[in-house]
Amino acid sequence: MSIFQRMFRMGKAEVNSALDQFEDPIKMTEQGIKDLKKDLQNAMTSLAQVKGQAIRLKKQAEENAHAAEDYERKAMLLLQKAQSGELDAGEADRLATEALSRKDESATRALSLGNDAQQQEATASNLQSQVDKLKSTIASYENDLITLRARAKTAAATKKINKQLAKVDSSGTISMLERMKERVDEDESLAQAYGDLAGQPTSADVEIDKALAGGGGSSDARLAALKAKMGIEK
Amino acid sequence: MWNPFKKKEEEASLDPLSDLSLSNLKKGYYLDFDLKTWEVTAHNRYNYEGDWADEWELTSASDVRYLELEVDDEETWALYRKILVTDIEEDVRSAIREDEDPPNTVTFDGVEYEAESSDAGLFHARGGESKGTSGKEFVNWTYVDETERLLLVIEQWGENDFAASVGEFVQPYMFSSILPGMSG
Repeated sequence: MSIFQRMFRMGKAEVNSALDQFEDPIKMTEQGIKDLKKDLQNAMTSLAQVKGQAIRLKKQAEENAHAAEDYERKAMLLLQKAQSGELDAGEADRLATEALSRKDESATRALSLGNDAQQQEATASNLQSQVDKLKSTIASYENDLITLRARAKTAAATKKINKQLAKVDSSGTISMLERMKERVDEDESLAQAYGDLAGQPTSADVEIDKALAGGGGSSDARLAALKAKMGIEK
Repeated sequence: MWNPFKKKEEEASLDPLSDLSLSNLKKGYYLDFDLKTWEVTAHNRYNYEGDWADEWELTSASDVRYLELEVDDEETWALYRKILVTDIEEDVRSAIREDEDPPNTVTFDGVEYEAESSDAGLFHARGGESKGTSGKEFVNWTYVDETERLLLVIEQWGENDFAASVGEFVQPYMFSSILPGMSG
């Protein structure tokens, strides 16, 4: 591998590492969910259009079916009027035929519109299941995000604590404790020494005796010398 | 101040998961009920001396229903359809003109209803969106059947202007697939 290739790889690795630091998985998931919700909203709007169209077609089909019934009723009325002599039979037949023709037109339109409405309803049903699926997916992602947020918070808190614990200089603390211990030992020894000193007799007589004792010769000899000096024989 | 991002923010403000609820219905929305898709064709409000009730007009082909929400201590949902006052067996109009109240018991479609309450208020079409609308005065009388499930309402909008509707208490879970529609 050439030196340039190695340098390029190193540079790439550094860039990737830097990018990894910028990437916040929670923010990225939030953005992903936001994008999915936008898609869902668009799908819902499309579904609403299809449903709206189905309702309108159904309404038009019903109106045409009513019109067909109405034309048939009118044709029957015309024939009844002709039968009762209220209307000329020929005119009644002509008008009744026209009414029946319009009835057929309306009935055909009603059928066609009804079929179209059914098709729209079938499309709406398919779209509805897709929308429901997308809804369910997004809801699931949102739940995952809640868990992810909680886990991230816990991880951040744990990381912080561990970092703080890692910063603690345990050896320094131990040596400091040792030094403290030594100092306390010294202080205690000193206090003991002072205590010993305080407990000893310090009168002048004792000191004299001590001096004499350390000055050589026995106490009897010293006594005899003193007596001789004073002229006492015994 | 002109803000090029404002429209986009407004568009994105609707959360298709949490905002599409029954109490947030708007004109142009769609919803499913009783195996039919209904379009919200109007949203009106009733003011009962400061206590507001919402009413959404739902249209499916040639059927029209009125979904009403009253919030007291809890939400009460009812779904009505208009009927002719003359289809009520008793002569309601004469009784109101003579006694200022309809009979205590009325019968419609073989079901007997007992008087439950009477209210006066102001009706605001389209939720009172139009500025300067003070609302239209009305008085209504509400009846319930013996099962306390079915409702009948008689309304008086003027000296000789009467209306009536029958309905039933409903629960929000009965409605599904709420869609924002084009004007949502």
